[in-house]
Amino acid sequence: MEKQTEEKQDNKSAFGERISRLHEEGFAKKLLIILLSVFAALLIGAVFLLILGVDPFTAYFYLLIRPFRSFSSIGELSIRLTPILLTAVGVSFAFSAKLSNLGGEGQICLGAIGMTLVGTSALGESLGAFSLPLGMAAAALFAALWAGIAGFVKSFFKASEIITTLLLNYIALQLLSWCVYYPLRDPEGNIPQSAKIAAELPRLFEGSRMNLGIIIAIAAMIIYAVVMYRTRFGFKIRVLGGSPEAARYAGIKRTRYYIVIMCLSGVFTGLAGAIEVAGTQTRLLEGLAGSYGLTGVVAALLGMLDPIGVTLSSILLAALESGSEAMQVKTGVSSLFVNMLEALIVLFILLGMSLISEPGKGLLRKKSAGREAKA
Amino acid sequence: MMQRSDCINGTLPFECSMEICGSEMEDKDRMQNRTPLLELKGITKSFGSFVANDHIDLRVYPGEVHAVLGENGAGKSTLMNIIYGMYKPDSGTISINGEKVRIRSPKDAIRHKIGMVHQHFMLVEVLSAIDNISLLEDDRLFVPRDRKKVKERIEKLQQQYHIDVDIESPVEQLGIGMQQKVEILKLLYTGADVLIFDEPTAVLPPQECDSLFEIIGNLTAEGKGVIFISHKLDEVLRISRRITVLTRGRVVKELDASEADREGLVRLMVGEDIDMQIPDHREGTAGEVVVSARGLRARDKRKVMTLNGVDLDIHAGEIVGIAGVDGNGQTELAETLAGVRHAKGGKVFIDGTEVSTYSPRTFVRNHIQYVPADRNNIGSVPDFPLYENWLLRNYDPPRRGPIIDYHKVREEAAEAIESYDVRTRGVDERTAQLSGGNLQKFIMARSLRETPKLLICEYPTRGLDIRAAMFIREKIVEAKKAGCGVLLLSGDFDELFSLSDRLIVMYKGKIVGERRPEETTVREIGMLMMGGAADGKAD
Amino acid sequence: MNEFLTAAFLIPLFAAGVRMSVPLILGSVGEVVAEKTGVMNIGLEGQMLIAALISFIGAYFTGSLALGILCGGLSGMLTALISAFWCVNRKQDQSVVGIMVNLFAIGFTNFLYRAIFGVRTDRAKVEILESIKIPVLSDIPVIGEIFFDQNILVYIAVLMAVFTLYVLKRTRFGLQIEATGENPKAARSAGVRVKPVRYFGYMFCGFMAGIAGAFLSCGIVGAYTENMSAGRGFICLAVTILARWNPVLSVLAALLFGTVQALQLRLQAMGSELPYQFFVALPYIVTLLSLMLFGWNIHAPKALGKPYNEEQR
Repeated sequence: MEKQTEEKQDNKSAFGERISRLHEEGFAKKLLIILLSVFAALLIGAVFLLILGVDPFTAYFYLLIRPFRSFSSIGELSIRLTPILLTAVGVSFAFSAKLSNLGGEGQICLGAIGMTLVGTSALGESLGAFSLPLGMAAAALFAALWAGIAGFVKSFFKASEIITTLLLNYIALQLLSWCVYYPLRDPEGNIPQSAKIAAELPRLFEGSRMNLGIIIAIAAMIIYAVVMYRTRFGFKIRVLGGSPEAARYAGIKRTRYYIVIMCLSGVFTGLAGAIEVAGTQTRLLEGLAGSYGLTGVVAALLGMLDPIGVTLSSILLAALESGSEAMQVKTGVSSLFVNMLEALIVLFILLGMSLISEPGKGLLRKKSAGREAKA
Repeated sequence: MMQRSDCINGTLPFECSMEICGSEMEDKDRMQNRTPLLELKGITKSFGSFVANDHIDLRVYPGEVHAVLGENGAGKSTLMNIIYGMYKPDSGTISINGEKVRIRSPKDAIRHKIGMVHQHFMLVEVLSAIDNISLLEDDRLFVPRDRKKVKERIEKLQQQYHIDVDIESPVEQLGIGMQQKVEILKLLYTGADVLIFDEPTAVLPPQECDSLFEIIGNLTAEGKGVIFISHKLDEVLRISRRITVLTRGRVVKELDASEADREGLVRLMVGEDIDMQIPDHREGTAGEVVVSARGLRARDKRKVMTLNGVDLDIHAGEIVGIAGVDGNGQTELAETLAGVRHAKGGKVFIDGTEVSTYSPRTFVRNHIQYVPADRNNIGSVPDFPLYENWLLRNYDPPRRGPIIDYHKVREEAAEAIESYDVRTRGVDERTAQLSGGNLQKFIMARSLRETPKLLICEYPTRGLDIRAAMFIREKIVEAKKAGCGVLLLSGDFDELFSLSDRLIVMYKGKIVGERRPEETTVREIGMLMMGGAADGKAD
Repeated sequence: MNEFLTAAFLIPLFAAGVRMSVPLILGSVGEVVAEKTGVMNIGLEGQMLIAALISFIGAYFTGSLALGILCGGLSGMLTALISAFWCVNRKQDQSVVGIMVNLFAIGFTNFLYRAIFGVRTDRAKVEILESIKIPVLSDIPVIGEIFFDQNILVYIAVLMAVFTLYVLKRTRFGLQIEATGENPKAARSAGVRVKPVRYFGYMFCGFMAGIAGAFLSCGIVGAYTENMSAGRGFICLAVTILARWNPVLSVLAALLFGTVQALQLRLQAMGSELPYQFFVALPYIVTLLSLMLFGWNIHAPKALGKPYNEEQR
């Protein structure tokens, strides 16, 4: 009898369970916490909205319902989802090794610059659509090197990547600003922005702005899942995040891996920048990175670095972001309002998770203590 | 330094403490009528559903050493932490001098004149002894500290109890024995009447134990009550007057030391007779040299050269035991021979070929396995399920292309769990939820997956209950019989003497002596560990 | 280059440098104390931003700068209380909570400013703090003009740094703080109450960050502009490291960064050959480089960033 159940478990596990841990025990409890957190954050948000004299139901309609309502609005959602998902994949790689890559914004800028450099060059013009992969490669390279700075400084100067990636953001923003004012400025235009790039990412459907970028983003997420949970490289990253001492014991060179992981993280965040240029904006302009950098971090944390979790939270956040503009137009509530909601959701989830795992009171501890007792 | 050399030269603190006990024996009856210094009634504490202490009663009288004996995990430390206010008990009462008190924090405990020397010292490493002790002062928070006054009081105590220790340097620069003395000074400074010593001898070489017992003797002579925690029967029998035996969080028996004997205590602790004897394994002769080191030097974490030129040959089918006080280069030796640490000089040969790159991968590929001391964070990743920890240090996992074949990995791990009797709910259980013994079995299984040429074991049974420890020792002997060379680092003399074919003593990063276990004594090895020459002179 | 080396250029430059360094001094002195207790207050930036707005609102409606600044300090402290609850009581990751506090601050300030002042073109303004000439000292040539003709918060910032150093090094409370950050378990066993000490670390840091934010809006600008802390909170974190967790050294490090910021503004205004973006980025570049040059081989408090669990075995 016992053997049978064991086999069953084995079969289930063979069927790709390593890719996502969401379904593991306690899943229902976790889901409940997430839903409650979202609800609590919305409730607090509603209080703020009422103070402002805005009907919360109207505001939340624009934030949560409208993005999914029509074919074209889902297209809008998808072009927001793309950079968020890619950034989330990038920072998830770093966070898995306990490296807090908060430099998504800067890396997106660098990626966008890389794409534009290729796309507006004579070479890009002559290549036509083939300039896209080249531009993406350049974007990935630029952003990887940029993120690599933080990894390098961490490895060799022991400077906290939290601070360095944040500082690099401010520098990258100015670099992008300089690019659109001077070297990449469209000579024919009056406003500081680059010329249109040679080719755009193809749209997937008629009547929607959804483009090839979303496919690339989903592919990136699949790559993340497979690399992280199916390969030795991903295993090593997770060992590094789980216990640096165990990593040393297993011969994983911390200095080297920190740099490699930061670069890898940059590759994906850089692609986010490239696609934002090639798919959505068609040119380089200031403020292009928007809040995608931080939103990506929120998505990664909200999804607890789990591929499916991160995907779902990215969709939620993309909806909030794409709905926020409509909300701003219709109700006058600033689109930054969603930042507040995002922060509250994450904080409440952390609170809820800590409540179920608190030693002494919680359930997880009980199990571990129970094991000890048996032994 | 005085008193240490005194002990070694044979002023025999052993006798000192016996004398004190002896004199007290006479007024035993008088003491029984007195109110106990400390009385615990029905102390219960559970962590989740695990009951660590179950209705424990304990009485400590002035002037006596009361030993609390039990296996690892029997609840001794939990109980002591409750007395000292580190944990809150779920129920039960604590009385001091017959008055019920509530101890909610160490602060309360200090106020009620309870002091404790923790198993893992509670010292702020970067501060000096003076500053560590000043922390205990109950001054107002914002007035300037009077460092001089504190210093004078400490010096007085040092003279009174003959405790010689540097009180100005940061405690991290002191040796383990010295740090323990700082801890004792902390107790004395607060004027504690009830003194708890939680496994104080676990970290000390035999000679320093003597000097500790001497201090304990002086304290009880003054009428202080001492609770002495240990799982070493000899010392318990030697210094204590009453013994309380704990098993699985319960008091199984309280008895007079005079009525107790070794075998009876073991039976009480373990709950049944257990064969503590390792079957004799020393018949065969050792094979060829598998690994040798020549002039090996290495630095520790703080970049201090702690391994200073070691020459060592390890043969197939022999167990080489390494003894030494913590921090004398043993860990660095083990790590360098395992490829985890880079040598900063000297050479390592595997099967006669010099090693050029130090990486665990090369060493593992050359069949050298390493069981580190810290099984929770170094030997495994606590958040990983068991089968993923099975992959740690496995450089050729089963795979299809670049994709790891987890199905096979799980099968391998499940087999190992089965054959090493690891008690767990399955390969999906998180490693953090395993008890120490089960985790160590799992790590042994992983290291002995393919019989290695050399197995390096660093404190393999530290903190394990007797059964698990015996299991691990048997596996080590099995590996040896299968032709594997074993390097065994241990602080447990029983283990070193019963397992080793050769015993090597390290001091200040060098090998200072080699003995055959059947031709030496604990005392001699202890002397070598202190840097003393074999003829008995201290360094 | 000569035009840069005249007294007419340099004295106002350094005087402005001193002014610009005040938020950095205040913030990093707070962060030093927080990190000494073992908690990393990444939310400093957010606390600063929220306080900049709240102090402005306070000053705008009460007409009293002092009250405004006090509101700023208290609001910073309240915001820090969020981090404290999450990190000390619920033992959550300090950097994650800090990031979320910063994110919250961006949304919250934007929301609050619009809720109160609406979207209008003429910006609400308050008077800024007057400078106080210290008698005698301000008459010293050069030095007097640079250091002793400043507003009250400048003096308070420096005094706070000195006072904090005194408390850390000379009082029992300072010893408790150090013990808590180095080894909370040992501290507790010596009778120190770890949680309150860490709460204090957060709240003190929040209060200081709040004053720093108030200095920005009420002290030098006289108005609130969107996201006006502009990464100063993060520079404070860097200053803390560079100053080796010493509040007085952090004054010096902060002066360096403040001067770079002042120089940056001046060079921009002078219409240099270099693009203005370079100057805007300059303080961050300098911070990054100095972290690389001087930030290593440091002795951070050992328990920094690690939640303390009382009943952990």
